[in-house]
Amino acid sequence: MPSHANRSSSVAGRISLCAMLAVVSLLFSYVEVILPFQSPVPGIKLGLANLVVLIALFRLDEKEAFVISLLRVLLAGILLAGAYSMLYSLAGSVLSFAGMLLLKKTGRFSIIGVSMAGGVLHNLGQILVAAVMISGTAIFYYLPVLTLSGMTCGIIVGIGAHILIRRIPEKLFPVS
Amino acid sequence: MNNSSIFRSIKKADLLLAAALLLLSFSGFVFLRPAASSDCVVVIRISGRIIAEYPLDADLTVRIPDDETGAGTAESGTAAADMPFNEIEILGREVCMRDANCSNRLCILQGKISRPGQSIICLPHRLTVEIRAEGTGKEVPDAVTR
Repeated sequence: MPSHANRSSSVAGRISLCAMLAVVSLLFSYVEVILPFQSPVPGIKLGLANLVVLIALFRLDEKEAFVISLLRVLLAGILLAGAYSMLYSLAGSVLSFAGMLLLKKTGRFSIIGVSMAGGVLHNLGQILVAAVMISGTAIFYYLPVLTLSGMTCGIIVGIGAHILIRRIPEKLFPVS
Repeated sequence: MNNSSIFRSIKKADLLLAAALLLLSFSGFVFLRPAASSDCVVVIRISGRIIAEYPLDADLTVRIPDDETGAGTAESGTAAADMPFNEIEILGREVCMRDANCSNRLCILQGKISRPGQSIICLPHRLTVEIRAEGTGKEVPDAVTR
């Protein structure tokens, strides 16, 4: 029977870990949906699901983090929101992940900064898709508001990730 | 929970990025708004009836001789100098009342308007000049389903 230290580094172990994290991320999305929150502007979210992706990005392989993000978008699209929402969410998530990965690789940003950028890019990705769908420049009026809210929520989520990431037992994540 | 560890882990690059993003978003407030005027229409009404419409992009001056009928036709027997008129100028995506011979000339004092929803009103002549945004039907969703 494999010991604790080896369990996560086997392929099956990693697959299980990613699947588990994807579901946790999905649950965070669900929590967001049921939180009572009246937003004047469509598209303002806390982005709690990104907390899991962040931790995965900093503690796991980046490919695994991406897969977790994709899975979350897919599952949340099927279970929680509609097909159109999933499109927006996908665009936002991909752009956000690309940016977060880039920033993380420079090594000059803390997890909070990375999360802040991720939040902004997520909103930006959604606006871009909206601009294509609605084919009008008026949608860009939302840009300042969504940038600010993306930053704020990103910072909040980033602080949460910062606090959590040290408290997760080492043996849960493979040595990276 | 150690609060200082949060502040200690914030790096210079984070703050620079935050500042840059803040700057970008605030400059967005400044630059994006005027862009709407490319689709706008200047609507001139007398007693509520639309008598003329011009694109906000146009550069022109309109002289509206207005009487009660609102058709702008001169009545015979009335000297041209006595005809009530308003001169509306559209220039550089701004609209203002250049001249008018109404009793209080308040319309001229109302200054320039440039954005949809704004208006200049000449009460004695029952004339209004307003900017209406075109294509509002497809701009922004009124509601979004979750």
